[in-house]
Amino acid sequence: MKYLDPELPIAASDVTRPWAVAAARTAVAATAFCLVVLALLLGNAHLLKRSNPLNHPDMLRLESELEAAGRDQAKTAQLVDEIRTLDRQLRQNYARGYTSARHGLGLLLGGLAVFAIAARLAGALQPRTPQPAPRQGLTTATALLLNQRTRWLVIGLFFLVTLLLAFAAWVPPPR
Amino acid sequence: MHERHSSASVLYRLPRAVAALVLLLASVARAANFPPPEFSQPYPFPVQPNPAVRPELFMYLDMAVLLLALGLAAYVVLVRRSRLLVLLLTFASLLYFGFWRHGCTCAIGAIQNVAQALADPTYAVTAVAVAFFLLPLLFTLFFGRVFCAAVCPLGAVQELVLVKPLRLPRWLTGVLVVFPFITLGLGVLHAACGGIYAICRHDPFVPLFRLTERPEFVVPALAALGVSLFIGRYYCRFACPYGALLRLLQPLARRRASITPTTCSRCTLCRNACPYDAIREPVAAPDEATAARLKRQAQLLLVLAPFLLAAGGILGYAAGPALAHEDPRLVAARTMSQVEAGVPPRDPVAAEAFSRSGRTAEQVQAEAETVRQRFRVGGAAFGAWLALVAVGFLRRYTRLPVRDTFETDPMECFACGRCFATCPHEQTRIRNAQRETPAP
Repeated sequence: MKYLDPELPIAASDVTRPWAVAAARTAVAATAFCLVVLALLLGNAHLLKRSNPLNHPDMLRLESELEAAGRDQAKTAQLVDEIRTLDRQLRQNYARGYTSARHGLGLLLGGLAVFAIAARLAGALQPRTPQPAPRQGLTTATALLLNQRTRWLVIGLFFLVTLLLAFAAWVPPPR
Repeated sequence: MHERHSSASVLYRLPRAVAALVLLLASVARAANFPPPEFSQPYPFPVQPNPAVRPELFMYLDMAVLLLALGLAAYVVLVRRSRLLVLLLTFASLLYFGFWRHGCTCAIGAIQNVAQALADPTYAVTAVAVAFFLLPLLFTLFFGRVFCAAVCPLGAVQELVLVKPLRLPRWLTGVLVVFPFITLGLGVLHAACGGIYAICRHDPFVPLFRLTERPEFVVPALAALGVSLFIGRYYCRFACPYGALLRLLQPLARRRASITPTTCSRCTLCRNACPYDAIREPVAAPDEATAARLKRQAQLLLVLAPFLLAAGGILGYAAGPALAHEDPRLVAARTMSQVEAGVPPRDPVAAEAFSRSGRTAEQVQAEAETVRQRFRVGGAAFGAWLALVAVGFLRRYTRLPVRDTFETDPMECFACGRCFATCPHEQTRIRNAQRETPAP
């Protein structure tokens, strides 16, 4: 409430303006950073999905070959070796991807925190003069209309809920 | 001489006592750690998605911190009336209850522990869960929603990221505030019937606290953060089941945050500063005919209420089995049926696990039928609760509270302190009080 203080110098806004500009630029930079990290995270998530060791195409192919090998011990041993190597490699990739995702999420949260703080500071440091407009509040008619509208919406909402419950009761769930 | 000696003795003993306490806490923390197995080859240990169970001593520490935070929140909101202190406490709560404690145990989730304990005598609820459930309710009864103001980590994260608040139309918020009561009913229903903790499962902010990297959790969390940039405390206002309980209790509070304890000049500054639309304008008294009409509507609602409750109960009873659709025991029964019918199950691993469990299909189906029956009874209570909520809100909107000045809405106010930080009369009062207080 600095505007209430009669001893506040008039040029206070000139002091805060450069800080406001700096905060706004920081917010823009943080936004760009967050977008880049988000894009990388999405890419990483896509790679993670593809390198899932449980259903990787190469692994599935080797498993089917192993099943087809039957009693051929030499081939079976070779395939088991290949599966082990591939499994280890895939698991390493998967774990690495998860670590990257964790670090990326930390960076993203950090970027978001910087953005929030900078944006709030930019807003708070903007030199603004409050201009209160004296009002008499709501008229009784407006307040009644508002209540009536909300009442009908609440009735509509519960009507929808009733329909949903009735539908759920009518259609038996699968056993 | 004796006093000096005793104070010196305390000063001498205090560091040793603190050191002993730290050592004790550290030893308890170490004792809880299970030694990991040693692998000959490098092995990346999997990351635990949920926070590990804490030693009992730390649980009591959490309770003490909660009590301290609630007390401080009541002090800064009601006595100091300082928005800055509220913000600092909010930040501290976010760090402790959010990022340090990973958002667990929390008051919102504790609803389910308490509901399950009330419904299932074999379930042992922890003292911490009960404390996290009861303490904020008790503080609300005495001091208003100080828990929401500065202690709840979910509220804190939304409070701190709110950058450009958008004001939603009053008629829209009037409907959206019904949803927390619905989520409360659903959460209690699922917990009481021994099913899933639906409130925790759909909590959008906890993945942030736990830094979960799985996309199915990260995407909703980021979306929630994005919404929170523009809509103030959207989760607290339109989804939080614990907030529904606090909403009911706050109007009964002995003391709660007020805009100004002195005069109101209707400058509207507080109303413009409140991003939660919790400041109500002055309203003149309606004429006699309107007042009589409102009274008739309220009486009609009162007459209809028992019928609506009964209809809600019957409908809920019939819809109970459908509400239990995601219950793990019903999912197990469905998977078993699929396996028996030769249909490839949706979750082959679960199907294999069930086939190895050695349980017969009859046993699984019998258990599923018990669950369905329990959900029928729970569904009846849920339906009646929904009808009660409908009646309550309709009653609320058939009243026209007469006000001379701008006032905080007793149900919607979060005691965040923005209104008294912008009220010119309040600031003048504080400044005058500071001038009158002699310097130390």
